[in-house]
Amino acid sequence: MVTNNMSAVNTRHSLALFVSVAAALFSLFAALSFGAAETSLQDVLNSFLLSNEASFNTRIIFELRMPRTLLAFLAGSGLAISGLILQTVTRNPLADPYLFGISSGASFGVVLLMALAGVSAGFMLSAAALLGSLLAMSLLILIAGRQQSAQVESMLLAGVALSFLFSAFTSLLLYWSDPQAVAAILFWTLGSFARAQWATLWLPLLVITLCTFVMLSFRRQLNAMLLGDESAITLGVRVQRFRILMLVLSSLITAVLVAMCGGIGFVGLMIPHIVRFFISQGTIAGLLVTSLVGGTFMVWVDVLSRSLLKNQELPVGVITAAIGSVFFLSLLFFRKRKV
Amino acid sequence: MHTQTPLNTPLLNVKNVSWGIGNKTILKKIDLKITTGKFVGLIGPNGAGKSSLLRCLYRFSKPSDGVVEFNNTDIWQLKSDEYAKKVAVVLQETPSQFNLSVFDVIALGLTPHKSLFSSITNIDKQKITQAINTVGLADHSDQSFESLSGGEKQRALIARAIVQQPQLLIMDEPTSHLDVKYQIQVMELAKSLGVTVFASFHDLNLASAMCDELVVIKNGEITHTGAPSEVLTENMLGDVFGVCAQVNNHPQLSKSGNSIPHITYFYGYK
Repeated sequence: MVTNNMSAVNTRHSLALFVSVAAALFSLFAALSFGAAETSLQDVLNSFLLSNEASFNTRIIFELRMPRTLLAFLAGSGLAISGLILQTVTRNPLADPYLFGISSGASFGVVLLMALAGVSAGFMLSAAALLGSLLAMSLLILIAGRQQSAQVESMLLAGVALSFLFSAFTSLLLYWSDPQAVAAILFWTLGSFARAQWATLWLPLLVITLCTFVMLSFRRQLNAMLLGDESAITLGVRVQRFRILMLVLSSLITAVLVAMCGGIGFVGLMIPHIVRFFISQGTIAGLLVTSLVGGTFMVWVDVLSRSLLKNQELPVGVITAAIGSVFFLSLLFFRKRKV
Repeated sequence: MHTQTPLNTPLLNVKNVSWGIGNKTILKKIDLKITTGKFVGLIGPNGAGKSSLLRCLYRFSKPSDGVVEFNNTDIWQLKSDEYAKKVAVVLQETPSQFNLSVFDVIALGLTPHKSLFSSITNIDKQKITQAINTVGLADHSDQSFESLSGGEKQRALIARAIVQQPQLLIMDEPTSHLDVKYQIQVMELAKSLGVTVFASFHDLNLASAMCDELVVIKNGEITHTGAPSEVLTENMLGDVFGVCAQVNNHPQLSKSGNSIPHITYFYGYK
């Protein structure tokens, strides 16, 4: 009887994984046909099959849309998995990469670089975001680590406080900058995949793949954390070190993504919850599905941002935050109704 | 490596352990030996230091003074996963709003035994299935852990401990929120496993019926140790717990044929 139930769980997880892989592949493919230039799925298919044809459409699809769609996918999956990891190690369903000051730190680094050096693209931005987020992260660990007991709570509060601190500095810098720079920075902090190009795509790909791989390999420890620190210790998990390792990995992902595509909120918060409604995230399949759903979601958000308004691009952060807030409110509503 | 301990040598040896928070000393020079194969109960009034003592034994708290030895090795000299292979712990009910299935929770018992990249083998699955059957949760393995009742959750956590294959099972008032029936069921389940158990009890009559030995703690010091019939006296109940009671024999005998002391409390303290 138990074996039947077990295989039912396995089947459901395999099915979920299969469906999300299929949806992700289809979305990556289909998203290439949306954009300012009129192209159809047939055009996309042609540009894949007839590789010699250097038509206008083919170039748009390969050089503009494909890196952009891939970056969107990476961003969605990276944010979803780091949100899930942070929710798990803090046992706080409201945790997302933004709550811990990591993204505010990254934004601060980027805005500082933009304001001081006038740099607005390229590798330097990633470096500044990474430094800003590492600064926020070290401060967070320093503050939270000093208090031995109540670690999770003080970590969360410290994260929120740091987030406000960095936002204050960011606002101050923006206040001092000239209006044109402010507009550029505002658009940047709202998030966009417009700067995606093949030359820089390796960085998020590398970081997200590596971090996700490490997180997957620690899935047992992650599950052990869900029943409390004390219980995790009795299962041989070195709780404090483990939590900091996971925090570092999620910050790395967040930092790189903030640098590449600006601040995209709510994905890290909502995707893990949506997936949690359907399957348990205790298995490799569960973690992968979360990541794939995040990526697929982001690909379509990017499509919306490109196609909602004619000749104008909506910031990605606006769309995810709008959908996210509605989701969030309905989550609260349904939670209340359940109790 | 010798994992088998000869009978009657202490499996767990607590030597002169003190522990406290800030300036407040909670545990004062505790000496205690747990013998292999015994079911030992820890009793004492609220705030006496039961949980603090147990926390020092499963490495949640590090004693400020003294050592805890497991098989003659200081437990803080062992790697955390090495120790987790030898000692499993069942705590009071822990709430969690995350969607883990009962199977996932029980599979957590494998955590210290598995390296990072290994997956669950068929042998592991068999172990888990067996543990699920032992605690009688076969119909619930696919369900979410949160949807279980209090008694079922504790049984699932005992199943997790079974999968952990420990030599010692530590339980911190695992039945304190449960109905009478489940209190008895959970404790008898723990007793049936055949491992050494050290458990704190809220219910003294349950402790009396289940334990081979009792340890009494008051104000961070151990005041009495011995068989339930030696420890559970009217004087001790007055001194340690501050209640007036009469101790008789329970109508039932224990499995080894000894009489079980049974406490009847008197009322009217006002």
